[in-house]
Amino acid sequence: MKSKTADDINKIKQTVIERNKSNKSTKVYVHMGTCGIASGAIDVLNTLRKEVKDNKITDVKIITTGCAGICSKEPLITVEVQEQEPVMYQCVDTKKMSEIFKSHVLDKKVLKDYAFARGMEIQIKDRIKNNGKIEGQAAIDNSIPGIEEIPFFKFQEQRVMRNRGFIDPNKIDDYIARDGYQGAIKALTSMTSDKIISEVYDSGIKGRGGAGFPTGLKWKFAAKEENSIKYVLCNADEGDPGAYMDRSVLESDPHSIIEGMIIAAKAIGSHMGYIYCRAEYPLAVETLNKAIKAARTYGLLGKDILGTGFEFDIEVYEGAGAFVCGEETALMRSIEGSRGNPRPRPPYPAHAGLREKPTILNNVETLSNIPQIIAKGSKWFSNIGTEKSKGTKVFSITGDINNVGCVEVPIGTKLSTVINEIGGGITEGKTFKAAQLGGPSGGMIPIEHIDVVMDYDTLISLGSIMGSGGLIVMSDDKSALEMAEFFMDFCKEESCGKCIPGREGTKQMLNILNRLCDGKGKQGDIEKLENLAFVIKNTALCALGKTAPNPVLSTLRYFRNEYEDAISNNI
Amino acid sequence: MIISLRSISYDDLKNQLSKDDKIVINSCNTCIKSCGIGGLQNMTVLENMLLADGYNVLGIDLISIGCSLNLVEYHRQDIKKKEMYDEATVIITLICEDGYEGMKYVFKDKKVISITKTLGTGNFTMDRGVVLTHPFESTGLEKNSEGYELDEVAEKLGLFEDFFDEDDAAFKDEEYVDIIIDGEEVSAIKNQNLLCVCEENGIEIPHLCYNEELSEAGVCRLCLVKIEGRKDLVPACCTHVEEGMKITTNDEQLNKYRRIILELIMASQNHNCLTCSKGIPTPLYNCELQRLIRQFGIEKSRFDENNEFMPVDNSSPVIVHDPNKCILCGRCVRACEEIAGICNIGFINRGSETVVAAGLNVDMNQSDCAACMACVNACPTGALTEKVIHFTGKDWEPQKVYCEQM
Repeated sequence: MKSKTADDINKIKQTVIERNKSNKSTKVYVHMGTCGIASGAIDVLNTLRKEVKDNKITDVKIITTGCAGICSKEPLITVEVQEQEPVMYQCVDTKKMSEIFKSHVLDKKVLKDYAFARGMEIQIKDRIKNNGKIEGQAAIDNSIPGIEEIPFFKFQEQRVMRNRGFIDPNKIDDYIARDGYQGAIKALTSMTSDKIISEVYDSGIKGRGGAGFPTGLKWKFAAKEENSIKYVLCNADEGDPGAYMDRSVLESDPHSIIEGMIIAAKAIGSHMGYIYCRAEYPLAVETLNKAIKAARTYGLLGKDILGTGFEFDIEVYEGAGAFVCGEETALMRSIEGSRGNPRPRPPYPAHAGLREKPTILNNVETLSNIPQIIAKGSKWFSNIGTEKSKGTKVFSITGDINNVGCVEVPIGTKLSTVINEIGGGITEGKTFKAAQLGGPSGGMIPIEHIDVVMDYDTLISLGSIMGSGGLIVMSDDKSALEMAEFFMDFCKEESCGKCIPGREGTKQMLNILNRLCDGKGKQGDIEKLENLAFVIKNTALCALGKTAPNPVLSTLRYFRNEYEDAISNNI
Repeated sequence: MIISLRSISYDDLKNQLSKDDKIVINSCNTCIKSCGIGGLQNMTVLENMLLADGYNVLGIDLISIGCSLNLVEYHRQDIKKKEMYDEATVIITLICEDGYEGMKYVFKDKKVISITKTLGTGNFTMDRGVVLTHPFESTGLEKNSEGYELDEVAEKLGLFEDFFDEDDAAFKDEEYVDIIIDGEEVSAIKNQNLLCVCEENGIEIPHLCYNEELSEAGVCRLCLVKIEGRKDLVPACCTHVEEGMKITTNDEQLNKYRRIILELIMASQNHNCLTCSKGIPTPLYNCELQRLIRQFGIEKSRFDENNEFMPVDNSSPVIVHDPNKCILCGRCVRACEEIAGICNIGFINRGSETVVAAGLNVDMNQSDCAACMACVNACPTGALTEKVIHFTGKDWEPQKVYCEQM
């Protein structure tokens, strides 16, 4: 099939928008991320389909989307009757689904008891601007809070997640209708490689995977290399305990990653890309594969992309479950088919990466930011954030918090805003003790620093990191020591076994922590822990090893008394 | 052991070559190496000589046992070396005459040049080096249990007992860089391995996972050094020297790290030198770990020792694999891949459960092991040892080391 040109894509966009406007049927969105499915969204969807069939209704359109963000209220559905405000229902089960169908879909009567919010997240900005109204939508029962009034949504800034809860991830047309592939069109038809790189560099975007290396710089190094074979890799091997931001993006908006990779490929002159996705995300793998297939049939991947003659294709490579394969050199070894072990750098991947060819590896979140940076410009991107860190960051909040879910906030948002406003505070009226950022490579932020502005540098100065975005909240009845033990156990289990500090050091640290948690601490254990922590930090081979002692160092910094108590109680 | 001497001079060798030849040099890593006319170092010398004289040398290849046709064939087909061997028109092989016949068979389509004459069998002695005890009839020598020393034989038979002399080749213009190691200015060939540069200049950096015959891995983290301007410590074995590098190889902090790493190794397994066969120094090897532990004066590890015992693999007729003494430096794994060319041993499991295993985790005698000893020679501890040295050896013999008249 002849590949589509930029005009064809724009035509598709117009057609889809027109079609959606003229379609008068009632839309029911079922939010089917892994989180939704786990809480029963499939049963809900089946009930809905059955109701539609049984009642022989034809003007109902069922749309399955990715996660809507607030995972603790799943399964969520949104019902949109034409010319009325959409209503989001929370904690839906099959019984509630039938009731909602009868009442809202058939009789156009909103079921207030089950409702969560009025409006859709994608319209939140318009709603705020127009005082909670959207043109052409009749207002309904005001006792249901508007989505802009709910703190969980109010404080967020949707960029990476801009399509969540609205588009069907399996329909490329939906993405195109939401300005999808406009960045790729611009990059491929009117920008040079240098221009793309400088646009990305100027935006100030830093790698969202944890290390925070400027993306533009990384691309520049790879672009400078002269080699006919280069690779663009996407790191979707999200493995931090309590982190699921990337999964949410992969499942709800896969095309944004594909588009980001096309732009990256054009920037560095690559013709082949891989998405390294962990096999524990079966839905994400399936969604990605469907999206890649759809992009190929539209000629957005393949030999002659958009008729520009540019060639690029993507393959999904499934990881086999090793956490260390999220480390860049180990990830490349894994794709090569070898044991997923890191190797010393230099040579850096930009020079000799996958199969010894120049390679760039970017995180899911980084790549899905790229299309908008290109389409809307670096200035638009850098208009939010702090002086040194621009844009937004997605966090997945878990732990002792009321609203568990994925949140995207401007960099520089206070931790207290995320926990108390967006997160809705600590569960069961307990008080906040600390938050673990950055998973096993990160550190804790205790209550005295709850007002910290979350950007890369400030968090490092407090002994934590921005990390990939996992944010685990602890209430005051939890032990920091046990948390440190948990993460050290994780690091020991996930160590590849290659370097001695990473393999034996983590094991010895865990031995000591086990002892302390069992109340069998000995004098000198804290000093031993500190000694080991500094040795591992400075001598381990890869970033996973180097950062493995961080949870211990950070708990020693803020909760040293718990360690001391564990020893003195035994003596 | 098979005793060979060099039969041709460098000029004789050059007479057999033309400038259009695409040359690969390979060498066996056993007897011929002990006889002083084979092995990695000599190959490198010859390569440099030929390059300096304007010949086209594609590369060098070390083979654990060159007279094993299988191994040579594996090397020829190796994914990383195939291209080189396919392109070559001439193979210069540093091997005994027996192995030469095999080389000619494997490289039928190419010109294979040997530089050796094989004279019989002999032994390695601590004081006299290699000696010839059972000469072939053709040499005209009698059997001699004491053995003939090689220089004597060489003179008698008109052969050469040493390898080619580098001075015979044209001067090779190398790019040199100036670096500063521990405050001393040192000149080194650009991109040379930092660990080697230090060693050549008499600065010893502790290391376990590096072996000059193998590729670098940088896993033991003992050779970490400080380089001015770099944020992290870097492993010397994986660093190439660049102009103006300022390197600190030894200070309090580095020694503290090294000490703790050694203690971690000690605690990781059962390193009992009393029953370990590697404790007996032999001409081929001694225990590198034990040497370092002594050098650092470590009596006991401060960490909890691992008392889990893993079964010893005694199945091979010649090799004993004792995972309890393994430090997972990976030298054997690399040797099996790079020198033996068969990739028979590798790591299994992960993290602190990692062990080295043969084949698909089977006993050594059930695996593809060629018993070529590449892994045994590479092992820095007593994890892989030659069966024959187990429970043998003799008491230390006292030696007079001072003069009575003093």
